[in-house]
Amino acid sequence: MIGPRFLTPDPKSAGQADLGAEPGPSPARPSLLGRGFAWIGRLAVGGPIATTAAVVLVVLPLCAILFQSALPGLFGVPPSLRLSGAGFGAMAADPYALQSGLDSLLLGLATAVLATALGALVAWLLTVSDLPARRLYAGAVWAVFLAPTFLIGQGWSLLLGPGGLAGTFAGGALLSPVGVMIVLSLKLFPFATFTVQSGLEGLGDEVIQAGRISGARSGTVWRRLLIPLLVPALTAGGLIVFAEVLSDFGVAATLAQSANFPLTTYAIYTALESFPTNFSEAAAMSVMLVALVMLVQIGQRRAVGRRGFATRWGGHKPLAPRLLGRFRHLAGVGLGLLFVLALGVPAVATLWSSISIHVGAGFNLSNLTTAFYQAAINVPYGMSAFALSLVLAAVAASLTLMLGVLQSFSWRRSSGALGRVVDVILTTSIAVPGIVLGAGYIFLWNQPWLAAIGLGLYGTTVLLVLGYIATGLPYAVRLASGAMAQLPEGQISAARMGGASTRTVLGRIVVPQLAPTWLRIWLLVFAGAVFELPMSMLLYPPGQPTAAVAILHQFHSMQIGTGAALTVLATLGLGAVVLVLSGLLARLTRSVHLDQSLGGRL
Amino acid sequence: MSLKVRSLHYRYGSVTALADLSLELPQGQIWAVLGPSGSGKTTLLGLLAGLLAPTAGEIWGEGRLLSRPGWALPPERRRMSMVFQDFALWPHMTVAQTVAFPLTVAKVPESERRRRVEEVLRSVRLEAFAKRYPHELSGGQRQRVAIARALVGRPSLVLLDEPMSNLDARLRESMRLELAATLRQEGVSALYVTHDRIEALAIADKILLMDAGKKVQEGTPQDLYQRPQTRFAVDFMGAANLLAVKPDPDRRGVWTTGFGVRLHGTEEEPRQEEGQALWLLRPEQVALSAKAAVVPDGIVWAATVTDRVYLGAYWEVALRNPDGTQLRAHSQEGWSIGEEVTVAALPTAPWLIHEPMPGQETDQPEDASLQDPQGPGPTLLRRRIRKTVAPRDGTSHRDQLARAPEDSDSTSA
Repeated sequence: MIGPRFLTPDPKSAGQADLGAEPGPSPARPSLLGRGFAWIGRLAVGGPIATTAAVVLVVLPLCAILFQSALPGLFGVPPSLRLSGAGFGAMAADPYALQSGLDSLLLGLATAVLATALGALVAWLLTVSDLPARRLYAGAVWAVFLAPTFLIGQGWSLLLGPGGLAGTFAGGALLSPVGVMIVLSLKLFPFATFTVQSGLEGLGDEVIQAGRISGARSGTVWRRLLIPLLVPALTAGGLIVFAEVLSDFGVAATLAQSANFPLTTYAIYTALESFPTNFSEAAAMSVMLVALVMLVQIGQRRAVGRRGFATRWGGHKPLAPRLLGRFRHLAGVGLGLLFVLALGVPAVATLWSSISIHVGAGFNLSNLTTAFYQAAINVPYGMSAFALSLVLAAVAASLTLMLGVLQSFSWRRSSGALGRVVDVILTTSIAVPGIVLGAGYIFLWNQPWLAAIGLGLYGTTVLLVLGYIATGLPYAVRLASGAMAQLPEGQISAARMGGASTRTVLGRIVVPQLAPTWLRIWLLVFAGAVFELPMSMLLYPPGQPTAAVAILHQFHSMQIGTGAALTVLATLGLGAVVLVLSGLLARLTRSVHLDQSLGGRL
Repeated sequence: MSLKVRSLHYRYGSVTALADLSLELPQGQIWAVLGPSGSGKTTLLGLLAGLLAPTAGEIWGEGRLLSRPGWALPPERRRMSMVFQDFALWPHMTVAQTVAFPLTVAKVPESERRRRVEEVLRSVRLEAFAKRYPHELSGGQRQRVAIARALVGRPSLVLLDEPMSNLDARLRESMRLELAATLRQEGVSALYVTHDRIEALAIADKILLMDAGKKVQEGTPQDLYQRPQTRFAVDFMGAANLLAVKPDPDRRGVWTTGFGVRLHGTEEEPRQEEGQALWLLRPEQVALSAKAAVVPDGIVWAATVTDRVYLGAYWEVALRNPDGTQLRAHSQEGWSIGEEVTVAALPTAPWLIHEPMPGQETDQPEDASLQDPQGPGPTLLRRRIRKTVAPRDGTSHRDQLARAPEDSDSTSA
């Protein structure tokens, strides 16, 4: 039961500082008041720039939605300030809207339960067991986490949908709300894995030892100690999954559509895109959705923040690995199966659809074709859409990184009210569904008078880039600030006292240490933007679809093979780009700890 | 409980964390297990608590077999308790709930439970904090909760794993006395693991000194401090001068320092064939006086002050002996550098350490020494050299020196 880890050679190692003499630990947030960083004052301009960006990119669109929902005439010509409940009324009278709302809620609850159970099990196996190849599985969790939901949803649609692979023998039984729930759980369980992992890492082995020495059997230890101590992590994981389900557009637009299972995000999209458009109803639905998601987020914060759970309490020794014995390899196979389901099945379904003439005809040479790949390369909006996405994503990633870095400098410097406001804006904007933010962009920028003064961004790639920045910025700021906060102030002070100028300190001390994190942020935002779906669907300029839009368009116009081929090409293309860049990164920094540096965000 | 440990071993992989440890802890005593990091004391705790199973040896408690090779009675059935280094409080339980936990799982009736929890909380002065959560307590209060939880079930043995190491220095001092008093008041047997010699000296009835997984010496605090058996024990128990001495070729039982001062004599069979030995002289056992002063007979010699540092309670003085070796002394006077002073060794019974020089270690099996846990190992010979006429107690060091036998050849070189 207890392995060598119990025998930490130096009992006075790390973690000891957790329980000082002062009453109550003050966890999590490091001091941002460092005097060593006062010199960064020269870069304080970065704060206002990033703050302005956060306001323009996130706050204004959200305000636009709020106004649109209550003052439907505000953005009309001429503008009117007439208060009206028409948007909410329309929503209440629209059976589709109500149904989708109810569906989303139920789906969210069911998925939260299943995904949390799955995620907790995976976390337990990865953190506390002697499972073989744990690093490999940990990487797989990240792969699932990063995979775009719409590609997963599309892959399952190909498998389960009419004429799909499984449709021929399974009768599409899984093409149902239950199927959607399972697919979403398979995609979203990493959120729960991450929270439970950090919960487990926060527990010292002494928690269990103290219980057992006090006379508790292992069942009692579980019931009275471990589970109560993991409740915050489980709750947080479940709430995040719930919010992710509510916000998700990728599966809502693919698998759920194929299953005739309307969800709120798709209902908002429909209200915006159908003719005649119903802006105020879309706005009303968005307001409801955002309110719900924010409530969930508050709940999640409270769950984690209670009673100083954030610090490691049980002691400084990590939980000793539990031996699985003869179940060791069985557990490994089971976990492998989970990843096959989560990633392998949709990938294979997509691949098979792209190379077979009749998907249900089985594997024989006469059924194979490269025609879909030729079509994918030749269709007007195929590879060009992917190329456009690469360019837009690169621009957005660069700008996002710049803003994130600027913000991280000023964040370190000040703990003022402004810094906190930006922090709140950015953390809440993580929870704002992309489709809602996109709707806000439409309301805000689709106004004739803006065009008149040269700010007619609606229908341009500029607005799309702004949208991508808005989705990436919270992560960029979090990661950049996190890395900055970890930079010991003594290092800066030492360099300053050694006579280094601000420029030297930046160039010789700060940048070399933070550059790897910055490059990783760039990669993360870039890869996320290439396949971004909801914003792109709402904001892509006429005649200039992005990769995700083009792929979905192929599927919606029943060009299944071409769509699948395009998906494969784009995925491989993106994979190649990311691989080359991260190889470059590895060479630059000689250490790639992608998962570690990103791990701090959840 | 009376705890009996018989030649306990613990190995994992190729590492021997604990080798051949035996001890017998009588009911009601507090013992300290003292040693540096990696000395095996944490392993010993794990074995005693039942968190680890030994690879060899046995543990008995109150006549009950608790551990044998490959098997350990589970921790929850050993009737022990433990105070952890990080206290290991459960953040979701209040002080009262935490302290009641051992009684709750033992299904002690509610009324009895409440009474006992109140009693224990009162004894650690936490009765006003019963409803608090751990994060609402100070470090010292947390530690008292951990102690209360360890005492509440009237365990037969309390294990304490460096319980002071997370407290700041001042708190540590006051908690030392308090903890010892609480443990004695409850009348429990306790094993206190620490790397801090002061804690061990202050709290324990007996100290078990460990190094590299082995027992080095076992004895009362006085034994360990005044009569250490190895260089390791000397150094670990506090600052010390170790002066090389050689047997006098002419007179059995007499030893001579490098600068000609003689130590003698002994009634025991002298073991001078070992060659060189080391004379232990702690800095506070050295008295300095002005050269001009009349120095009575005794172990005295002249030395030169080479450096001194004021430390508040005393001056730490560095001296050079006539043969060029160094000596450290604590003195109430700040001598000037370069001054020649008279050094007098205060102990009436000089303590010699016979430890082979490097390369002379015998290859006898270690087990031989552990037949009798109290006995010295074959390589750890010691001899007390008594000054035959010197009074044992009741007189000052000066008096003792004054009454030293005439034949003492201790002179200035």
